[in-house]
This record gives sequence, structure tokens and C-alpha cells, in this order.
Amino acid sequence: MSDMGATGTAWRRDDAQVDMPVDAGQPQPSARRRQAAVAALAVAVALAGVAGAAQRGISPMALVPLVPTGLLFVVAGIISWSRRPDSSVGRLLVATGFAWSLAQVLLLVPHAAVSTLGLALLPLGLAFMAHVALVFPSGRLSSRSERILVVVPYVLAVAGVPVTDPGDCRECLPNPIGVDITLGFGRLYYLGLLLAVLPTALCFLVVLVRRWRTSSVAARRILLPVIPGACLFILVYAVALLSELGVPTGLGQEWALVALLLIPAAPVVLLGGLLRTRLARTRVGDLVVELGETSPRGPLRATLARVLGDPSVEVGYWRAEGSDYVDGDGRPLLLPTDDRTRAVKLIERSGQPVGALVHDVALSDDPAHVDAVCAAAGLALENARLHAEVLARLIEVKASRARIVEAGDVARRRVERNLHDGAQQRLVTLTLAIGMARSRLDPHADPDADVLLRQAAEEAEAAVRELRELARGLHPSILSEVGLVAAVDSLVERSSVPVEVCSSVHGRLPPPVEAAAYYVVAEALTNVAKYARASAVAIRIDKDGDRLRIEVADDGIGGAAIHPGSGLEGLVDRLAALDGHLEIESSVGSGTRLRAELSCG
Amino acid sequence: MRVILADDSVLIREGVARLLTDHGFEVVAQLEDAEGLVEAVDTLQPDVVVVDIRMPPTHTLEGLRAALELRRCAPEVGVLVLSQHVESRYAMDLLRSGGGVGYLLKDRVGDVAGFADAVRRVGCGGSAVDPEVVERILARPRPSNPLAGVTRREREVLGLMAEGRSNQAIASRLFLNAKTVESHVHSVFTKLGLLPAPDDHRRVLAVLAFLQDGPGEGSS
Repeated sequence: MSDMGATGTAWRRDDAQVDMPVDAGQPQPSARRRQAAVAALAVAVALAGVAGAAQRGISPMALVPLVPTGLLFVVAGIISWSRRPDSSVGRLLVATGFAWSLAQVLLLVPHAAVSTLGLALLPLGLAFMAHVALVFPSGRLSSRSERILVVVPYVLAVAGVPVTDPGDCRECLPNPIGVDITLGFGRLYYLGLLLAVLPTALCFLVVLVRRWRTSSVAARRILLPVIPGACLFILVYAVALLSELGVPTGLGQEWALVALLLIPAAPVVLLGGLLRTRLARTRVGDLVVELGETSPRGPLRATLARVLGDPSVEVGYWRAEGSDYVDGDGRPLLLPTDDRTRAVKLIERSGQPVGALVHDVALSDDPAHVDAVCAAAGLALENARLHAEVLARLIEVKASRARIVEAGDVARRRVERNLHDGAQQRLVTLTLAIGMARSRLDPHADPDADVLLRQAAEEAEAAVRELRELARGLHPSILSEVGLVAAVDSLVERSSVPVEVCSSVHGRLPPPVEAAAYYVVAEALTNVAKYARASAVAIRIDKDGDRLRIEVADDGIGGAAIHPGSGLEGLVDRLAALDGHLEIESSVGSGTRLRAELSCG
Repeated sequence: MRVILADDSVLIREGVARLLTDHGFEVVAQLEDAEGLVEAVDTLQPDVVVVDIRMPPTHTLEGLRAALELRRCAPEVGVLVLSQHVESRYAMDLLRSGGGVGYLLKDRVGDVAGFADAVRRVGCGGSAVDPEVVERILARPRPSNPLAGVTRREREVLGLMAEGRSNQAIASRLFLNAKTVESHVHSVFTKLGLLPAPDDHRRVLAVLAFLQDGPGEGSS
């Protein structure tokens, strides 16, 4: 990680399938030596072929096209091997290359056993290719059916040796163990083999198409050269097989040639894919320039998603305060822990955590690219992190304000409940006791006692009434029992001024919303009764999506305002806790219009 | 008259039981919540049930729900709902469920004779509406007041009538004779444009529904 500058990196491996060595981009010296040796061996094989041919007076052109194709495979294999030493793909490609180069060289040796070996290597190369298509890019087989399927081409390759011929090679020996495929048992064997190859090809096609369909966008970017190419090859190959079996496909024998021509295209396509990932890295340079221009509020996530080629990228910003991650809007972001499709990259600056990149597991195929992108985005990430931290703090403040309001409401309800179960019941009992005492006492026998009892009864009744009003002011039980509209109706019933209510609210709203809306109406009606000298009030309560709008308008003298310490000011806080606000429109002589809006989602 | 009491406050339950016993009622059961009320009514066949609106477990409207349930399954049994505060909405819900219902503030028990009378009225299929509910409905400010042409005396009669009292009771309360009360009632119905109702309960409902919700609601 020496190239990461101030940005240290650490991989969190959630998925054993993507057990990427940290130094995947930089092979160990021993691996380098091994790869160099392989390359040298491939060249040696080719030269041996040329030298052998020259010695026997055969034109080196006889080595075309198998030897150059083989060399191409070897080159693609070595590059891919050095990029991903953990994956068998590189080695399989090298094996394919050797199979074909060596096959051509051995076929030219005028010795039956050697020549047979050469013939056997020809279909074996195809089996290696099939193996590559199945395990690309990780080198692993992901299911039992794949493990079975991968063996079949090898079996078919061995079974196919007796029906393989050296083709147009005039200098080659005929197949020593070859059978005549035009008649008798040879014909049956040949057709049987073709009939076995066909379903195998179809199985490969199904597996590959399914893999493509279930892959994420990021994964498809990596699979792009191989899977569609392999599918095309299989289709062409299948059509060629059908023609060979005599099925009228409308295409001639030359179709088989197309399949053969596609083979040398395979390493070219693979090399192109590898080169493309290289090119992607140069985009990191553009990223540095782009992020230099991006303000902290800029869509860093979108930029990273584009550069990484993974629209599903999520950026988590480290929040030291809560030791957790938040997204760009300051909302908590949980890093996936048991999601096999996601990988997490922790980003640090100067030893301090800055953030985490949650990305498609497919990107782990090129960790150096992710590292480079993270390094380039380091400063922008730090800026965005600070921004996200502020947003997160704001969200917390809002939440804490809501909690304060809620705690207040809970306390009010508790006091109301205590009053109801305690003092109110006792006073009622007292009223009852006084009433019964009076009913048993003959008022004429002791008029003084009767007067005293009557006074006691009146006092007790007054106390009950006052307590009732107090309890109602603390928490109107109808609000929690029936809901906002019923509670507003109950308020309206007690108003001294005619009130018209128009409401589009049906059903219940969350308790804090109902409470806030109720107190808005209650406070407005109290103010109307106290100051407005109005003759009519209109209340509108509208629910529009997740917003609740309340308007209380009167035709009074106007001139109302939100004074510090007033009930209206308390409402401002209550509404703010629900992402709402309060405004008042009250010019002298033209009535008062109180508007409140709050979130009710 | 057989009574079942349901109230979670033992003080009030005992007090009301004593009050009613003193006034010649037979308290056949006392319950501390509304759970077994329907069952108790089924087995004990009381004439009237006195139930607190707010009881365990949620301390909200258990009593009201139990009352409305009783109205459905045992409409012949009177139900009087008591509450620490009154809402005209709940009063109307009860009144609409048929005759033999009452809804009173709990502290009305201080007027022992009046309370006993209300329980008896409800037990006999009449109604008892708390004066505060009646007053709130009658006094509700309206842009065009349907009570504008009603005289003070007529309004007084109307108020007592809406509480569920019979003409006879209104007459003795206001020191009038029953015929006068009857003509006042007739006059109020005419002024409000309502048809005379056949019994005490239905006239209470007609008047209160008319004043609460406007014409067309209470003419049943």
C-alpha cells in the first residue's frame, strides 16, 4: 500500500469467496519469475516448432494458425495471472495456449505416439477454454452443478481423440487411433459424441446466461468481455454441430470455420477487457481534477459511483462522536456484515478513520483501482465527512427537540392520569359523602348544620370543576381517545365565538402530530376569545401527503404577533420538533390568520 | 330495581352502592373493570348498569365501549355512563343507541336524590343527559342561531327536557303545571321545525341531534 500516500487502507473481508490478497496488483518476485519462465517456455515451444519444421523442409507457415493463437493465449494468461495470482483463470489460459502450440508442434513429429498426443491436445484446449468461461474471473466454481459441468468437456475431449483429424495438415501423420467417421461403428461413435457435446454446450449457455442476468452492474462490467463472447462462441459452435448432424440450419459447413476463427479472438477480447480496467485507472486522474472542483456539497457518491463503474456504491462517513457511519445526508448507515454481494472498504487518513465505501463485491476483483479511487477522493471525502457530521448533529438536535416535546407530553399525561385516579376520585367521593350526609339530615332540625354542609358541597363541587379544567388543560383525553378532529370539535363547542371547521383529515395521526395540531387550534381559539373581538372564526385542517396544514382565521381587530414567552412561541418550538413552522398574518383591522404547517408522515 | 356497578375506584363504587341502596335499589354486583360486564348482565339480569367511562386496562373509553356493546346485546337493560369530564360526542353516541341511556359527570352523585332519580329514569327506558352537555349544545355559538326565536322560559323547559326529564318532572322543577310545560315543548318543536316525538327519549335525541348536527339528523 506504499502508493496510497497519506491514505491508509484496510480491507474488510466479508466474503470468503473474494479473498483478495492485498497486493494483488503487485506480484511477488517468485511469481514474476514463474511467469517469465512460462513465457520463455512458450517462445521456446514456438521456436522448436519452427526449427523442427525447417529441419524437415516443411514451411513454418504450417504452424499457422495454432501456434500464434496459442502464443496469444499464453500472453493473455500471463497478464491475467499477474493481475490475479489467486485466480486460476490466468493459468488456465496459459494451459490453453500451450495445448494448442504444443499440439501443432507435436503433430509435425513423424511418430505415431507423439502425433496422437498432439491430436489429444487439440480438444483439450477447448476444454480449458470452457473451464475459463465457467470460472471467470475468480477462478472458483460457485456450485455443485458447476463443479460437475466443468469436468464434462475434459471427458468429451478425451473421448474425442479417435475422431479428431489433423485437418489440412499435409505434413502430419493421419490419426493412428482414428476411426472412419463416415460409416459403421465410427459413424455411430462420432454422432453419439456430437449428441453429447450439444447438451453440454447448452448447459454452459444456460449457466453463463443465468450468471449474466443475476450479476450487478459492476459485476457485468467485469464479466463483459468473457460471458457474452463465450455465449456467442457456444451459439456458433452449436449451429456448426447441428449442421454436422445433418440438421438443416440453413448454414453450411463453413459455419464451423467461423467457430474456429472465434478461438483466436478469445485472448484478444480478454486482453481488451484487461486493458479496459487499466484505462479505468486513468480515470482516477480525472477524478482528482474533478474533485478539486467539487464543492463539499457536490455529489461525491455519484462521482465515485461513476468512476468505479458501480451505481450501487454507498459512501459512509465516519462520525467520531457516535463511532458510527452516516450517509451524505447525515443519516445512519449500517455497514453490511453478512451480505455476500457487498464489500466494504474502510478509508483512513493519517491513521484516522474517514469513511467507508460499500460497493459491489465485483469491484474487489480490482482492489488496486478501488484503492486508487479512495486515495484520490481522500480530501473530498474528509470535507464531505465534516459536512455529513454536521448534518448528523442537526438531525440529532431535531430528534432531541422532538424527544423533549414528547417527554413533556408524557409528563402531562401522567399528571392528568394521577389527577384522575387520585384527587378527582377523592373529591367526587367527598361530594358524595356530603350529599349523603345532607340527605340524612333534617334541614329543619339543624338549619346551621345544613348551611355548613351546603357550603361544603359547593366548595367540593367548585374544586371538582377546577380540577377538571386543569386536567383538561394538561391533556384533553378525547384527543388520545378519538383523535384530532373530535378534539377540535370539542374545543369549538366551548368557544364563545362561532367557529366553522373544515377538515380533510381522516383517521388517526401520530400522537405528537395530533398534540401539536390540537395545541395550535387551542391556542388560536384562546387568543381569539381573549383579544380578537371577532364574530366568526374559520378553521381549516388539511392533510396533503405527509404535510399537515392548519389555518385559524378570524375577522377580529388583528394586530396579533408571536411575543416572547407567549403560548404561540411555545408552539413554534413544538412545531419545529416536527419539521414544521408557524406564521401569523395580522394587520390591524383585518383579522388574524394563523398558519401552521408540520410533517405528519 | 336491580343495579350493577362498574368502576375501578373502590371508594366511588362503595359510595354509589350505598347511595343507591339507601334509595331502594338492589346492587347485585360490583365490578372493577368492564371485562365481565356483558357476562354479569347476562347472568344477573339487572334493570340498569352504572359504568365508569375510564377503566383498566387502557383507561380511555372502556366503559363507553362496554355500554354500547350492552346496548346491542341487551337493549332492555338501562346503561348510565359516568365520567370525570363530558364530551357531547360521547353523549350523542349513547343517545343514538336507543332509550334507557344516561351520561353524567361523576360529581353529580353529590346530588343524591337527583342521581338516584337519573338511575331510575335510565332503568325505566328514559334518558339522563348531563346538564353540562345540554348547556354546551344549546349555548354553542352559531352564525344563525336556531334558538333565536325561543323565549327564555321555553329555553329553560328545553334544557330540562334535553336532560331527559319528563314533563311532570319539569313542571314540578319550574313550579308550572304540566299543561303549560306541554305547550312550551310543543312551541319549541314548532319553532325548531321538528315533529313532536312519541316518547321522552326520542324527543331528547331529536332536539339534541338537531342542535348538534343541524336539520335532518335528528328527525328519527
